[in-house]
Amino acid sequence: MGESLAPLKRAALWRAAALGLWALVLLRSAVDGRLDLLLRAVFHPLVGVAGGLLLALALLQLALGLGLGPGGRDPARSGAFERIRRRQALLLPATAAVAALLLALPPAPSFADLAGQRPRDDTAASELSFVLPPAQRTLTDWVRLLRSQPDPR
Amino acid sequence: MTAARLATAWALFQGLLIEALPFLLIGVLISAVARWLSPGGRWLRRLPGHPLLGPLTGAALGFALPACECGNVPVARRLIVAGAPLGTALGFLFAAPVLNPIVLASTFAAFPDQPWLLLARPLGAVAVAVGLALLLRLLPEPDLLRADLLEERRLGQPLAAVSLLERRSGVLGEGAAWRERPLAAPSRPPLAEVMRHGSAEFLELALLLVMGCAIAALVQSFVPRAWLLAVGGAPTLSIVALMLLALVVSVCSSVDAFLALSFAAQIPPGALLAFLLLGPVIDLKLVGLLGLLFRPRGLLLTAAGSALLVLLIGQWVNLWRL
Repeated sequence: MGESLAPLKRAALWRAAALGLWALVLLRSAVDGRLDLLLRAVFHPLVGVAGGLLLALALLQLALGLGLGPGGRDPARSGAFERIRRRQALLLPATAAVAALLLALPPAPSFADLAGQRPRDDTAASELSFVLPPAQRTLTDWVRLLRSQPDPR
Repeated sequence: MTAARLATAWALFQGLLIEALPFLLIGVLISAVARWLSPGGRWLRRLPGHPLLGPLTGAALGFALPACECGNVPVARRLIVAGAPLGTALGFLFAAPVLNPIVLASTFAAFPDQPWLLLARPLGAVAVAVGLALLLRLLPEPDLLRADLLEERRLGQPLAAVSLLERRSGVLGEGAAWRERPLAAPSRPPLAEVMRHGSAEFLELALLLVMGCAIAALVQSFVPRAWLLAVGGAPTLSIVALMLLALVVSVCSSVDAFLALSFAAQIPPGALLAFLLLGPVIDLKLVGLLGLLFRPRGLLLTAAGSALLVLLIGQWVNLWRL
């Protein structure tokens, strides 16, 4: 019984790790300012909430994997268990690797390309108040400014 | 130059992915809760199976799920597995990304001065969903749905929850006969199993979403958008160009109206509506996710059918508005 549960626990730990990495991707994006460059302002809170939910799910999976919570059904009853376990054995490391890449490599786009392709962002503040003088503003600030202003007519 | 383009593609990829992930999570959570609350999904099998009423009912269910097309896929999958009439599930899959409060609100926010669009977009989405549902019903289910999905649909529960003997015994032939076989009411699964299944589903779908976003970001970075907008003046070519743009940019239906606003002045109204109708049904980002539901033939039929329907609707709007 213990041996038959070991693959389940290992899979739970892998799922916990993958979910945790995705949670970190969303939470870090919500706090490090990259969302100002990537997403419209109205979506920023949703990313943070989703990151929190994923983190909670990851912690629950970790608890299952460490045997701290109620277990699932006896795997002997799951006829497709082995096939699904093999598929997940490939999927989980792959998805965890992608999440790790997103954490390790923040966006570093060509600002000329981004500004040239800018869509309107009506969800952002129409007037941006800059604390810093123009010479000290970052490129992100300038792209945000370009996005919030309409094209000249 | 290539390095700068790749850097931009990486940024676009992150933008698309981070924008879609919360909605994917919402869809998976709703699907998991539905499975826990109604494990057999018996009420789903009572939904209308009429060729027209079914897709309309499915489309109306979209008001319960405020997510874009990514979040709808796991819920639609759940509907199909639970034995809901296929027309209802397809109507939900194709219309719900538009027929939800967030998308309707964003369309209004982006185009307050074009009230015709506020009616045309939801009506057009329903028309496309009903048309696609009728078209896809021409294919037998074994030719339309993936084998594993079909097997789960016939059993009424996930494959991981049943033994090999249960999967292989007593399921003969195809058609409605299997649905009339009385099924024992399945017990509510443990919460741990629902979480395990939901987590695995989210991670699998996230990987497919990653592939779709990567393709969309690369195409956006290396194909100048100006090429597609250069045909803005021609009534028919503009519709085709905007449909291709919708396929390529792969933006979520919750914000595509704001994106469309940036070039709305350069294109005819039919092309604008075509952009807003096709993206929620199919785009590069969504191809991998839809591949979880349909066989390649079904996927091709979905792409071709939706393109044709949207082209016809766009042409009609151009005739009406121009």
